[in-house]
Amino acid sequence: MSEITLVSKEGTKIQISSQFSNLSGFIHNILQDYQQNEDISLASVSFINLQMILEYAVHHNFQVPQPPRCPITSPNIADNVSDPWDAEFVNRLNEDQIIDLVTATNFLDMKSLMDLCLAKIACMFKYKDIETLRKEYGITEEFTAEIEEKLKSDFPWAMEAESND
Amino acid sequence: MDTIFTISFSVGLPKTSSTVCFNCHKKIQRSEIRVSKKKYDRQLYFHLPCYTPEHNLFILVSNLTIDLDENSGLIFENWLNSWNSHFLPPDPNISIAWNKTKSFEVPKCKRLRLLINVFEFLTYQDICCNLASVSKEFYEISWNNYLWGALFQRDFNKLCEGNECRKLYIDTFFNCCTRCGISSNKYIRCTLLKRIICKNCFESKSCELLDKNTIKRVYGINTKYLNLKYHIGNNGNRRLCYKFLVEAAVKERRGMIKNKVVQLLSDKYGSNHDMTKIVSSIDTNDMDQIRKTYYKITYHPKISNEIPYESYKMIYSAIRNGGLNFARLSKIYDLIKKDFP
Repeated sequence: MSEITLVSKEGTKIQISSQFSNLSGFIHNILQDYQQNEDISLASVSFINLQMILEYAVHHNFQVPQPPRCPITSPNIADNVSDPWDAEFVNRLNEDQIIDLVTATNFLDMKSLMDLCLAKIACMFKYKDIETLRKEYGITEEFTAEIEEKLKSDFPWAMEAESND
Repeated sequence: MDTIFTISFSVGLPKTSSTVCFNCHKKIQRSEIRVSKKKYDRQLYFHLPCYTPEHNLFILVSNLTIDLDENSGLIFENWLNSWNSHFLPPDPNISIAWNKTKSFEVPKCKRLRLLINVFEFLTYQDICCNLASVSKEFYEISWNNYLWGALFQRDFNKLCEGNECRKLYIDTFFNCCTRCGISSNKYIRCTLLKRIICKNCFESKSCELLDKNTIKRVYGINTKYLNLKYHIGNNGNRRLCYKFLVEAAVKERRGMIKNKVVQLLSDKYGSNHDMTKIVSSIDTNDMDQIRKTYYKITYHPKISNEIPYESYKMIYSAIRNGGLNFARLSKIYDLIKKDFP
Protein backbone atom coordinates (compact mmCIF):
# COMPACT_ATOMS: atom_id res chain seq x y z
CA MET A 1 0.00 0.00 0.00
CA SER A 2 1.69 3.23 -1.08
CA GLU A 3 -0.97 5.93 -0.96
CA ILE A 4 -3.88 6.69 1.29
CA THR A 5 -6.72 9.17 0.86
CA LEU A 6 -7.45 11.62 3.66
CA VAL A 7 -10.72 13.53 3.71
CA SER A 8 -10.79 16.89 5.49
CA LYS A 9 -13.67 18.32 7.52
CA GLU A 10 -14.94 20.13 4.41
CA GLY A 11 -14.89 16.91 2.37
CA THR A 12 -11.78 17.68 0.31
CA LYS A 13 -9.75 14.60 -0.53
CA ILE A 14 -5.95 14.54 -0.40
CA GLN A 15 -3.75 11.65 -1.40
CA ILE A 16 -0.60 11.04 0.59
CA SER A 17 2.01 8.36 1.12
CA SER A 18 1.11 5.77 3.73
CA GLN A 19 4.45 6.61 5.37
CA PHE A 20 2.48 9.42 6.99
CA SER A 21 1.63 6.82 9.64
CA ASN A 22 5.22 7.24 10.97
CA LEU A 23 4.19 10.68 12.16
CA SER A 24 0.56 10.16 13.10
CA GLY A 25 -0.58 7.64 15.70
CA PHE A 26 -4.17 8.04 14.51
CA ILE A 27 -3.33 7.08 10.91
CA HIS A 28 -1.02 4.32 12.15
CA ASN A 29 -3.91 2.73 14.06
CA ILE A 30 -6.31 3.13 11.15
CA LEU A 31 -3.89 1.44 8.75
CA GLN A 32 -3.99 -1.71 10.86
CA ASP A 33 -7.37 -2.61 9.28
CA TYR A 34 -7.25 -0.43 6.20
CA GLN A 35 -8.66 -1.63 2.94
CA GLN A 36 -7.28 -0.19 -0.26
CA ASN A 37 -9.10 2.77 -1.83
CA GLU A 38 -10.90 3.44 1.43
CA ASP A 39 -11.15 7.11 2.42
CA ILE A 40 -9.95 8.14 5.87
CA SER A 41 -12.25 10.80 7.22
CA LEU A 42 -10.68 13.43 9.48
CA ALA A 43 -13.75 15.09 10.95
CA SER A 44 -11.80 17.49 13.16
CA VAL A 45 -9.16 18.64 10.67
CA SER A 46 -9.86 21.47 8.28
CA PHE A 47 -8.44 21.51 4.76
CA ILE A 48 -6.05 24.38 5.57
CA ASN A 49 -4.68 22.55 8.60
CA LEU A 50 -4.39 19.31 6.67
CA GLN A 51 -2.38 21.07 3.98
CA MET A 52 -0.02 22.49 6.60
CA ILE A 53 0.34 19.12 8.29
CA LEU A 54 1.18 17.46 4.99
CA GLU A 55 3.67 20.20 4.14
CA TYR A 56 5.41 19.50 7.44
CA ALA A 57 5.33 15.74 6.86
CA VAL A 58 6.71 16.00 3.34
CA HIS A 59 9.50 18.34 4.46
CA HIS A 60 10.59 15.83 7.08
CA ASN A 61 10.36 12.99 4.60
CA PHE A 62 7.71 11.30 6.78
CA GLN A 63 10.27 10.72 9.52
CA VAL A 64 9.91 11.95 13.09
CA PRO A 65 12.23 14.98 13.41
CA GLN A 66 14.23 15.99 16.45
CA PRO A 67 11.89 17.45 19.08
CA PRO A 68 12.21 21.09 20.15
CA ARG A 69 14.35 21.87 23.16
CA CYS A 70 12.53 21.33 26.44
CA PRO A 71 12.62 23.54 28.45
CA ILE A 72 13.03 26.21 25.84
CA THR A 73 16.00 28.50 26.43
CA SER A 74 15.15 31.50 24.32
CA PRO A 75 12.05 33.42 23.25
CA ASN A 76 13.11 32.88 19.66
CA ILE A 77 11.77 29.57 18.37
CA ALA A 78 14.67 29.26 15.91
CA ASP A 79 17.06 28.80 18.85
CA ASN A 80 14.98 25.93 20.20
CA VAL A 81 14.58 23.75 17.13
CA SER A 82 17.23 21.87 15.20
CA ASP A 83 15.80 22.51 11.75
CA PRO A 84 15.46 26.20 10.82
CA TRP A 85 12.63 25.27 8.43
CA ASP A 86 10.53 24.31 11.47
CA ALA A 87 10.99 27.78 12.91
CA GLU A 88 10.03 29.43 9.61
CA PHE A 89 7.02 27.14 9.27
CA VAL A 90 5.63 27.95 12.69
CA ASN A 91 6.58 31.64 12.58
CA ARG A 92 4.34 32.30 9.59
CA LEU A 93 1.27 31.23 11.59
CA ASN A 94 -0.66 33.54 13.87
CA GLU A 95 -1.82 32.58 17.34
CA ASP A 96 -5.24 31.28 16.31
CA GLN A 97 -3.79 29.26 13.46
CA ILE A 98 -1.27 27.68 15.85
CA ILE A 99 -4.05 26.69 18.24
CA ASP A 100 -6.12 25.24 15.39
CA LEU A 101 -3.08 23.29 14.33
CA VAL A 102 -2.52 22.03 17.89
CA THR A 103 -6.11 20.79 17.97
CA ALA A 104 -5.71 19.10 14.60
CA THR A 105 -2.39 17.47 15.54
CA ASN A 106 -3.91 16.34 18.82
CA PHE A 107 -6.67 14.64 16.84
CA LEU A 108 -4.11 13.01 14.54
CA ASP A 109 -1.84 12.11 17.47
CA MET A 110 1.13 13.87 15.82
CA LYS A 111 3.38 14.58 18.76
CA SER A 112 6.24 16.08 16.78
CA LEU A 113 4.22 18.87 15.16
CA MET A 114 2.15 19.41 18.29
CA ASP A 115 5.32 19.90 20.35
CA LEU A 116 6.61 22.37 17.79
CA CYS A 117 3.41 24.45 18.06
CA LEU A 118 3.39 24.25 21.87
CA ALA A 119 7.04 25.31 21.98
CA LYS A 120 6.14 28.30 19.80
CA ILE A 121 3.40 29.33 22.25
CA ALA A 122 5.81 28.81 25.15
CA CYS A 123 8.27 31.13 23.34
CA MET A 124 5.57 33.82 23.41
CA PHE A 125 5.57 33.57 27.22
CA LYS A 126 9.31 33.26 27.74
CA TYR A 127 11.13 36.13 29.52
CA LYS A 128 8.06 38.37 29.44
CA ASP A 129 7.08 40.28 32.53
CA ILE A 130 3.63 40.16 34.07
CA GLU A 131 2.42 43.47 32.69
CA THR A 132 3.53 42.70 29.14
CA LEU A 133 1.75 39.36 29.21
CA ARG A 134 -1.43 40.91 30.56
CA LYS A 135 -1.33 43.56 27.87
CA GLU A 136 -0.62 41.14 25.04
CA TYR A 137 -3.33 38.69 25.96
CA GLY A 138 -5.92 41.26 26.98
CA ILE A 139 -6.10 40.04 30.56
CA THR A 140 -7.85 42.70 32.57
CA GLU A 141 -8.63 40.77 35.74
CA GLU A 142 -6.37 41.95 38.46
CA PHE A 143 -5.38 40.55 41.77
CA THR A 144 -6.05 42.51 44.89
CA ALA A 145 -3.08 43.71 46.92
CA GLU A 146 -3.62 40.90 49.42
CA ILE A 147 -3.59 38.24 46.72
CA GLU A 148 -0.47 39.77 45.15
CA GLU A 149 1.24 39.44 48.53
CA LYS A 150 0.05 35.86 48.82
CA LEU A 151 1.39 35.09 45.36
CA LYS A 152 4.80 36.35 46.37
CA SER A 153 4.75 34.29 49.54
CA ASP A 154 3.71 31.16 47.62
CA PHE A 155 6.92 30.94 45.66
CA PRO A 156 9.63 32.54 47.83
CA TRP A 157 12.13 29.91 46.75
CA ALA A 158 11.69 30.73 43.10
CA MET A 159 11.90 34.47 43.73
CA GLU A 160 15.04 33.94 45.78
CA ALA A 161 16.64 31.83 43.08
CA GLU A 162 15.78 34.45 40.48
CA SER A 163 17.29 37.28 42.51
CA ASN A 164 20.66 35.53 42.59
CA ASP A 165 21.33 36.58 39.01
CA MET B 1 -5.15 24.12 46.35
CA ASP B 2 -6.15 21.84 43.52
CA THR B 3 -9.87 22.23 43.02
CA ILE B 4 -12.14 20.93 40.37
CA PHE B 5 -15.45 22.37 39.27
CA THR B 6 -18.02 19.74 38.48
CA ILE B 7 -21.60 20.12 37.47
CA SER B 8 -24.03 18.34 39.74
CA PHE B 9 -27.80 18.61 40.03
CA SER B 10 -30.87 16.46 40.52
CA VAL B 11 -33.31 15.75 37.77
CA GLY B 12 -36.75 14.18 38.17
CA LEU B 13 -40.49 14.55 37.70
CA PRO B 14 -42.13 16.79 40.31
CA LYS B 15 -44.73 15.24 42.59
CA THR B 16 -46.73 18.45 42.74
CA SER B 17 -47.11 21.33 40.33
CA SER B 18 -46.40 23.96 42.93
CA THR B 19 -42.73 24.66 42.11
CA VAL B 20 -41.79 27.60 39.92
CA CYS B 21 -38.98 27.73 37.36
CA PHE B 22 -36.24 30.10 38.52
CA ASN B 23 -35.58 31.14 34.93
CA CYS B 24 -39.02 31.64 33.30
CA HIS B 25 -41.02 32.04 36.54
CA LYS B 26 -43.70 29.65 35.31
CA LYS B 27 -45.01 26.69 37.24
CA ILE B 28 -43.38 23.34 36.52
CA GLN B 29 -46.08 20.80 35.68
CA ARG B 30 -46.00 17.21 36.91
CA SER B 31 -45.33 15.87 33.42
CA GLU B 32 -42.34 18.18 32.84
CA ILE B 33 -38.77 17.27 33.69
CA ARG B 34 -37.53 19.36 36.61
CA VAL B 35 -33.92 20.19 37.40
CA SER B 36 -33.31 21.03 41.03
CA LYS B 37 -30.09 22.60 42.17
CA LYS B 38 -28.92 23.96 45.47
CA LYS B 39 -27.28 27.35 45.29
CA TYR B 40 -25.88 28.66 48.55
CA ASP B 41 -28.68 27.74 50.90
CA ARG B 42 -31.50 28.03 48.40
CA GLN B 43 -33.04 25.24 46.39
CA LEU B 44 -33.62 26.36 42.81
CA TYR B 45 -35.88 24.64 40.28
CA PHE B 46 -35.79 24.83 36.48
CA HIS B 47 -37.59 23.38 33.49
CA LEU B 48 -35.02 21.21 31.71
CA PRO B 49 -34.98 23.48 28.58
CA CYS B 50 -34.63 26.55 30.84
CA TYR B 51 -31.60 25.20 32.65
CA THR B 52 -28.06 26.12 31.57
CA PRO B 53 -25.22 24.65 33.64
CA GLU B 54 -23.11 27.32 35.32
CA HIS B 55 -19.81 26.02 33.90
CA ASN B 56 -19.00 25.13 30.32
CA LEU B 57 -17.96 21.62 31.19
CA PHE B 58 -18.62 18.05 30.26
CA ILE B 59 -21.34 16.67 32.57
CA LEU B 60 -20.61 13.31 34.13
CA VAL B 61 -23.70 11.19 34.80
CA SER B 62 -22.05 9.98 38.00
CA ASN B 63 -22.37 13.52 39.43
CA LEU B 64 -26.14 13.67 38.84
CA THR B 65 -29.09 12.34 40.78
CA ILE B 66 -31.58 11.04 38.23
CA ASP B 67 -35.13 9.92 39.00
CA LEU B 68 -36.97 9.65 35.68
CA ASP B 69 -39.21 7.20 33.88
CA GLU B 70 -38.29 5.67 30.51
CA ASN B 71 -39.74 8.38 28.24
CA SER B 72 -38.47 11.35 30.17
CA GLY B 73 -35.17 9.49 30.60
CA LEU B 74 -34.74 9.46 26.82
CA ILE B 75 -35.54 13.18 26.59
CA PHE B 76 -32.98 13.90 29.30
CA GLU B 77 -30.38 11.70 27.61
CA ASN B 78 -30.78 13.68 24.38
CA TRP B 79 -30.39 16.94 26.26
CA LEU B 80 -27.28 15.64 28.04
CA ASN B 81 -25.70 14.34 24.82
CA SER B 82 -26.40 17.61 23.11
CA TRP B 83 -24.71 19.57 25.95
CA ASN B 84 -21.75 17.21 26.22
CA SER B 85 -21.10 17.21 22.48
CA HIS B 86 -19.47 20.65 22.88
CA PHE B 87 -16.89 19.52 25.44
CA LEU B 88 -14.18 16.99 25.96
CA PRO B 89 -14.66 14.53 28.82
CA PRO B 90 -12.44 15.50 31.74
CA ASP B 91 -9.05 13.91 32.15
CA PRO B 92 -9.00 12.14 35.54
CA ASN B 93 -5.34 13.15 35.99
CA ILE B 94 -6.11 16.83 35.72
CA SER B 95 -7.81 18.77 38.43
CA ILE B 96 -8.06 22.48 38.13
CA ALA B 97 -10.45 25.34 38.53
CA TRP B 98 -12.03 26.80 35.41
CA ASN B 99 -11.83 30.51 35.42
CA LYS B 100 -12.98 33.21 33.10
CA THR B 101 -10.63 33.57 30.20
CA LYS B 102 -9.95 36.47 27.95
CA SER B 103 -7.08 35.56 25.71
CA PHE B 104 -6.85 32.49 23.48
CA GLU B 105 -10.18 31.78 21.85
CA VAL B 106 -10.33 28.11 22.73
CA PRO B 107 -13.05 26.13 24.48
CA LYS B 108 -12.12 25.98 28.15
CA CYS B 109 -11.53 22.23 28.42
CA LYS B 110 -9.11 22.25 25.52
CA ARG B 111 -7.57 25.46 26.76
CA LEU B 112 -6.60 23.97 30.10
CA ARG B 113 -4.79 21.05 28.53
CA LEU B 114 -3.21 23.35 25.98
CA LEU B 115 -1.84 25.64 28.67
CA ILE B 116 -0.54 22.76 30.78
CA ASN B 117 1.25 21.36 27.75
CA VAL B 118 2.66 24.80 26.95
CA PHE B 119 3.88 25.29 30.53
CA GLU B 120 5.75 22.00 30.29
CA PHE B 121 8.12 23.76 27.87
CA LEU B 122 8.99 26.44 30.43
CA THR B 123 11.23 26.48 33.46
CA TYR B 124 9.99 26.68 37.02
CA GLN B 125 11.23 30.31 37.14
CA ASP B 126 9.07 31.27 34.18
CA ILE B 127 6.05 29.57 35.73
CA CYS B 128 6.41 30.72 39.32
CA CYS B 129 7.89 34.18 38.96
CA ASN B 130 6.10 35.49 35.89
CA LEU B 131 3.18 33.44 34.71
CA ALA B 132 1.63 32.65 38.10
CA SER B 133 1.01 36.35 38.67
CA VAL B 134 -0.52 37.08 35.27
CA SER B 135 -4.03 35.85 35.88
CA LYS B 136 -6.04 33.63 38.17
CA GLU B 137 -6.12 30.94 35.54
CA PHE B 138 -2.34 30.87 35.16
CA TYR B 139 -2.04 30.91 38.94
CA GLU B 140 -4.23 27.81 39.24
CA ILE B 141 -2.15 26.07 36.59
CA SER B 142 1.05 26.95 38.44
CA TRP B 143 -0.20 24.71 41.27
CA ASN B 144 -1.38 21.88 39.07
CA ASN B 145 -0.15 18.50 40.19
CA TYR B 146 -0.03 17.06 36.69
CA LEU B 147 2.16 19.93 35.50
CA TRP B 148 4.63 19.54 38.38
CA GLY B 149 4.72 15.79 37.83
CA ALA B 150 5.72 16.41 34.22
CA LEU B 151 8.31 19.01 35.23
CA PHE B 152 9.72 16.64 37.85
CA GLN B 153 10.12 13.90 35.28
CA ARG B 154 11.70 16.28 32.82
CA ASP B 155 14.17 17.92 35.21
CA PHE B 156 15.05 15.04 37.51
CA ASN B 157 14.38 12.13 35.19
CA LYS B 158 12.28 10.32 37.78
CA LEU B 159 8.60 9.50 37.90
CA CYS B 160 6.57 11.40 40.45
CA GLU B 161 3.55 9.67 41.87
CA GLY B 162 0.97 10.97 44.28
CA ASN B 163 -0.60 14.34 44.82
CA GLU B 164 2.40 16.27 46.05
CA CYS B 165 4.53 16.60 42.95
CA ARG B 166 5.05 20.29 43.51
CA LYS B 167 6.37 19.74 47.03
CA LEU B 168 8.57 16.91 45.85
CA TYR B 169 9.92 19.09 43.05
CA ILE B 170 10.89 21.84 45.48
CA ASP B 171 12.45 19.40 47.94
CA THR B 172 14.49 17.76 45.22
CA PHE B 173 15.38 21.10 43.75
CA PHE B 174 16.77 22.41 47.02
CA ASN B 175 18.39 19.36 48.51
CA CYS B 176 19.84 17.38 45.63
CA CYS B 177 22.97 18.01 43.64
CA THR B 178 22.39 19.19 40.06
CA ARG B 179 25.02 16.81 38.72
CA CYS B 180 24.64 13.56 40.65
CA GLY B 181 21.10 14.00 42.01
CA ILE B 182 22.18 12.90 45.49
CA SER B 183 21.32 14.89 48.56
CA SER B 184 24.39 16.04 50.49
CA ASN B 185 25.23 18.23 53.46
CA LYS B 186 28.33 19.63 51.83
CA TYR B 187 27.27 21.65 48.86
CA ILE B 188 27.89 24.86 47.00
CA ARG B 189 25.07 27.08 45.88
CA CYS B 190 25.67 27.78 42.24
CA THR B 191 24.34 31.15 41.16
CA LEU B 192 24.69 30.41 37.47
CA LEU B 193 22.42 27.39 37.64
CA LYS B 194 20.44 28.60 40.64
CA ARG B 195 20.86 25.10 42.04
CA ILE B 196 23.22 23.35 44.42
CA ILE B 197 26.22 21.26 43.50
CA CYS B 198 27.67 18.82 46.02
CA LYS B 199 31.34 19.23 46.91
CA ASN B 200 32.39 15.99 45.21
CA CYS B 201 30.90 17.05 41.91
CA PHE B 202 32.16 20.60 42.30
CA GLU B 203 35.72 19.35 42.60
CA SER B 204 35.42 17.13 39.53
CA LYS B 205 36.75 18.20 36.13
CA SER B 206 33.31 18.63 34.64
CA CYS B 207 32.67 21.58 36.94
CA GLU B 208 35.75 23.51 35.85
CA LEU B 209 35.02 27.05 34.79
CA LEU B 210 35.94 27.95 31.22
CA ASP B 211 36.01 31.44 29.79
CA LYS B 212 34.82 32.40 26.32
CA ASN B 213 38.30 32.38 24.77
CA THR B 214 39.08 28.96 26.19
CA ILE B 215 35.81 27.60 24.88
CA LYS B 216 36.68 28.85 21.40
CA ARG B 217 40.19 27.42 21.62
CA VAL B 218 39.20 24.04 23.01
CA TYR B 219 36.08 23.34 21.03
CA GLY B 220 36.78 25.51 18.01
CA ILE B 221 33.23 26.81 18.18
CA ASN B 222 32.03 30.38 18.30
CA THR B 223 30.34 31.04 21.65
CA LYS B 224 27.53 32.99 19.98
CA TYR B 225 26.19 29.67 18.67
CA LEU B 226 25.98 28.12 22.11
CA ASN B 227 23.29 30.12 23.91
CA LEU B 228 25.09 29.93 27.23
CA LYS B 229 24.77 32.06 30.31
CA TYR B 230 28.01 33.19 31.93
CA HIS B 231 29.30 34.14 35.34
CA ILE B 232 31.27 37.33 35.56
CA GLY B 233 34.77 36.42 36.76
CA ASN B 234 36.47 37.99 39.76
CA ASN B 235 38.40 40.55 37.74
CA GLY B 236 35.25 41.58 35.91
CA ASN B 237 36.53 40.88 32.41
CA ARG B 238 36.11 37.16 32.03
CA ARG B 239 32.81 35.47 31.30
CA LEU B 240 32.90 32.01 32.80
CA CYS B 241 30.77 28.93 32.38
CA TYR B 242 30.87 25.39 33.72
CA LYS B 243 32.52 22.82 31.49
CA PHE B 244 29.60 20.39 31.63
CA LEU B 245 27.21 23.09 30.43
CA VAL B 246 29.57 24.04 27.63
CA GLU B 247 29.96 20.42 26.56
CA ALA B 248 26.22 19.86 26.49
CA ALA B 249 25.70 22.98 24.38
CA VAL B 250 28.57 22.08 22.04
CA LYS B 251 27.22 18.57 21.58
CA GLU B 252 23.79 19.89 20.78
CA ARG B 253 25.09 22.45 18.27
CA ARG B 254 27.29 19.93 16.50
CA GLY B 255 24.46 17.41 16.37
CA MET B 256 22.24 20.04 14.82
CA ILE B 257 24.80 21.00 12.16
CA LYS B 258 25.49 17.34 11.38
CA ASN B 259 21.79 16.64 10.84
CA LYS B 260 21.55 19.68 8.63
CA VAL B 261 24.54 18.62 6.51
CA VAL B 262 23.23 15.06 6.19
CA GLN B 263 19.86 16.43 5.11
CA LEU B 264 21.47 18.70 2.50
CA LEU B 265 23.67 15.92 1.14
CA SER B 266 20.72 13.51 0.99
CA ASP B 267 18.68 16.09 -0.91
CA LYS B 268 21.50 16.77 -3.37
CA TYR B 269 23.19 13.40 -3.83
CA GLY B 270 20.76 10.91 -2.26
CA SER B 271 21.07 8.99 0.96
CA ASN B 272 23.10 6.19 -0.69
CA HIS B 273 25.95 8.48 -1.76
CA ASP B 274 29.28 7.62 -0.10
CA MET B 275 29.75 11.08 1.35
CA THR B 276 26.25 11.07 2.89
CA LYS B 277 27.02 7.74 4.54
CA ILE B 278 30.43 8.89 5.80
CA VAL B 279 29.00 12.09 7.26
CA SER B 280 26.10 10.18 8.89
CA SER B 281 28.64 8.05 10.72
CA ILE B 282 30.48 11.00 12.31
CA ASP B 283 30.34 10.80 16.08
CA THR B 284 29.73 14.33 17.32
CA ASN B 285 30.54 13.31 20.91
CA ASP B 286 34.11 12.60 20.01
CA MET B 287 35.41 15.55 18.04
CA ASP B 288 37.89 17.07 20.45
CA GLN B 289 41.19 15.55 21.35
CA ILE B 290 42.31 17.39 24.40
CA ARG B 291 45.89 17.13 25.51
CA LYS B 292 47.30 18.10 28.86
CA THR B 293 46.40 21.73 28.47
CA TYR B 294 43.60 23.33 26.54
CA TYR B 295 46.07 25.26 24.45
CA LYS B 296 47.27 22.31 22.40
CA ILE B 297 44.46 20.92 20.35
CA THR B 298 44.76 18.44 17.53
CA TYR B 299 42.06 17.55 15.11
CA HIS B 300 40.50 14.17 15.25
CA PRO B 301 42.79 11.59 13.57
CA LYS B 302 40.01 10.51 11.22
CA ILE B 303 40.39 13.75 9.33
CA SER B 304 44.01 13.31 8.39
CA ASN B 305 44.43 9.55 8.30
CA GLU B 306 41.40 7.42 7.69
CA ILE B 307 39.40 9.33 5.11
CA PRO B 308 41.56 11.28 2.69
CA TYR B 309 38.84 13.40 1.05
CA GLU B 310 39.25 17.15 1.20
CA SER B 311 35.47 17.55 1.16
CA TYR B 312 35.19 15.34 4.24
CA LYS B 313 37.77 17.44 6.08
CA MET B 314 35.80 20.56 5.31
CA ILE B 315 32.50 19.04 6.39
CA TYR B 316 34.07 17.66 9.56
CA SER B 317 35.52 21.05 10.32
CA ALA B 318 32.14 22.76 9.69
CA ILE B 319 30.40 20.37 12.08
CA ARG B 320 33.12 20.72 14.71
CA ASN B 321 33.02 24.53 14.49
CA GLY B 322 29.24 24.56 14.60
CA GLY B 323 28.95 26.94 11.65
CA LEU B 324 27.69 26.36 8.15
CA ASN B 325 27.15 29.22 5.76
CA PHE B 326 26.31 29.45 2.08
CA ALA B 327 29.91 30.12 0.95
CA ARG B 328 31.20 27.15 2.88
CA LEU B 329 28.45 24.97 1.51
CA SER B 330 29.31 25.91 -2.10
CA LYS B 331 32.93 25.04 -1.43
CA ILE B 332 31.89 21.70 0.03
CA TYR B 333 29.83 20.89 -3.05
CA ASP B 334 32.80 21.80 -5.32
CA LEU B 335 35.14 19.59 -3.32
CA ILE B 336 32.68 16.67 -3.41
CA LYS B 337 32.61 17.01 -7.21
CA LYS B 338 36.42 16.68 -7.25
CA ASP B 339 36.52 13.81 -4.74
CA PHE B 340 33.72 11.84 -6.39
CA PRO B 341 34.01 12.62 -10.09
